[in-house]
Amino acid sequence: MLVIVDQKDRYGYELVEEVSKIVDVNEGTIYPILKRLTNERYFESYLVESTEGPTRKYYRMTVAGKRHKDELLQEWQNFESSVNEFIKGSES
Amino acid sequence: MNKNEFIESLRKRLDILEQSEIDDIVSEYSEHIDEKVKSGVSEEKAVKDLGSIDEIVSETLAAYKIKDRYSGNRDATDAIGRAFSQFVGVLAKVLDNISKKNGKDIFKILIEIFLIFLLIMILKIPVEILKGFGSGIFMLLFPPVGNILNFIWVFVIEISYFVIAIVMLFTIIKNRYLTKDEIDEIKRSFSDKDVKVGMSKISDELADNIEEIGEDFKEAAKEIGTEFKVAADEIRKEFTPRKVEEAMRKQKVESERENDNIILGVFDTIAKIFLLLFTIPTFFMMIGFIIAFGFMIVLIVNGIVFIGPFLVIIGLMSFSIFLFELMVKLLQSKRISAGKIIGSIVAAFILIGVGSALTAGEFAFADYTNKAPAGIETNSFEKTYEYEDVPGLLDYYSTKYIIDDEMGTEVKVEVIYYKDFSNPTLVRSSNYINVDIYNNASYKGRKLFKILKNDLQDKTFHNYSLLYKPWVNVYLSQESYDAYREYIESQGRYFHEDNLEYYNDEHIYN
Repeated sequence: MLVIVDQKDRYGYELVEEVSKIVDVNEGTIYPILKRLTNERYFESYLVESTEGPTRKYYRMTVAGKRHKDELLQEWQNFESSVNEFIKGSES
Repeated sequence: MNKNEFIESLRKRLDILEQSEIDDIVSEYSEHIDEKVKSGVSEEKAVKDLGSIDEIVSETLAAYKIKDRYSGNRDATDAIGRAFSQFVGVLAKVLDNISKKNGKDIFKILIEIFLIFLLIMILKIPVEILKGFGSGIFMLLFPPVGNILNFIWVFVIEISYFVIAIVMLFTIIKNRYLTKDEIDEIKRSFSDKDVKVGMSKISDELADNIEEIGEDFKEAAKEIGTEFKVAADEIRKEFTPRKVEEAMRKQKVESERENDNIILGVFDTIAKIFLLLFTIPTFFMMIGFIIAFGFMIVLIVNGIVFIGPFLVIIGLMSFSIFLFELMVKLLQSKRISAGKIIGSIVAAFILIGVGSALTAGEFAFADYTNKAPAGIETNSFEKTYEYEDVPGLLDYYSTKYIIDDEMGTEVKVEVIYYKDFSNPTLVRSSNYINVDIYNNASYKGRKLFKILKNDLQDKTFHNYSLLYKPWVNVYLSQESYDAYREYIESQGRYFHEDNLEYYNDEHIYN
């Protein structure tokens, strides 16, 4: 979710759609995660008036959020390379 | 479930959060569902796709670091505490409302309150009938156990009536004198009023200080560069008064919850113990009524139909089942809807009220004789003794002495009993004779039932306990009789002259 919002600010429903494409989870559980990320100041929300419908709440990443995302990505890359090395090692 | 049900359920279970937060969360889900519907999915499916509401609630609350314990259930004390504070709040609001009205309206209100109390008192009448009815049954048919059952019966009825009266009063006042908004306001104000008051004071002070620090940072950042500006902006945003207030409040709430857990735990246990005390007699009452209901069915199958008692028993049975369910739910700290409570109580009372009235009508002309039923087969046997062997004769209450001088020094004891209900023997103990009625006592249920059935159809009632008690005739000479009397009086006991009288007219046996 951090990566998706990093690319572009999203609103709730949009985000759920994007995530659902990648991971098969119950849509209802996305919102609590959004809430948590917001409470932990990794995201912040702002409202945008829309002519075609209701006011939408958009989510945007904070500086802290960016840092957190970078950390997690780094961790993931470390993990991935360790696993790859392990596989390579056991194949040889 | 549809969207509204989902939203309502969500609101209720997230009740513990700040109202603004609840609104925020709920609006997101609401919009999500709307968007889904717009894209062509049915409302039901949209709600279903959100997944389990339990999961949503516990994940959401986890986002506020609130433990799962509070996500679904409530403590019994919590429920009672809320009910009490609601009650106090309502009272305060009602008085407030009343004080705002003018003299004429106040008078009208007083009349209405008086009528409400009158209604409650009128309700007492079927309760009293019920009480008496139950007591009557218990005393008549089950002599030894009857007293205990009767006590439990009266106790539970009185308590139920009291609770029902309070709930009724409360509900009527709430509905008549308060608008929905005021009610919601009271609910809200009582959950976080104290916290708000305390927190606003602290946050005001903090806000002043933080504002200053924020300014300094901004100036420093201008001097140093873009990166620092961004950092400073971030910090300022992080430390706005509102967010501090929220964080501190959450801190306070969290630490309170830690402490409260222990205190709440104790109160919770005490409350549950009390509930358990009420649950046990209710359970037995419930079983009793179910059995009575079964008995009624048996009667009906046998052609005895009494609508009155039948309605009463149905009302009592469903009411006791409802009460028991209620207590079990409270013990499990589950929530109960007020509507269901009121509905069940009203239905039960209507059934019981109408039933009691009908019963009174049906049995107003019933007969009751303090004798055994007529025409039941009897058997008898005799035994002869020498008087001097048994100077104490008999200490059995239903004994009649018949003078027959031809008996000489002998004494003949004749025992007459209802063949199907008892099988007595005579036993000699030192210097008197005992009638043993418990020997081979057999309880011929079927015969008794047949007798009862006939009586019910004729609407005549007898004293059925007499079926199990034999009676005794003692034939003896005048000499022996006089000797017996002397014997009794020498022991300091009172000699009942009645024994000699010919009871037949008043004799309790037909």
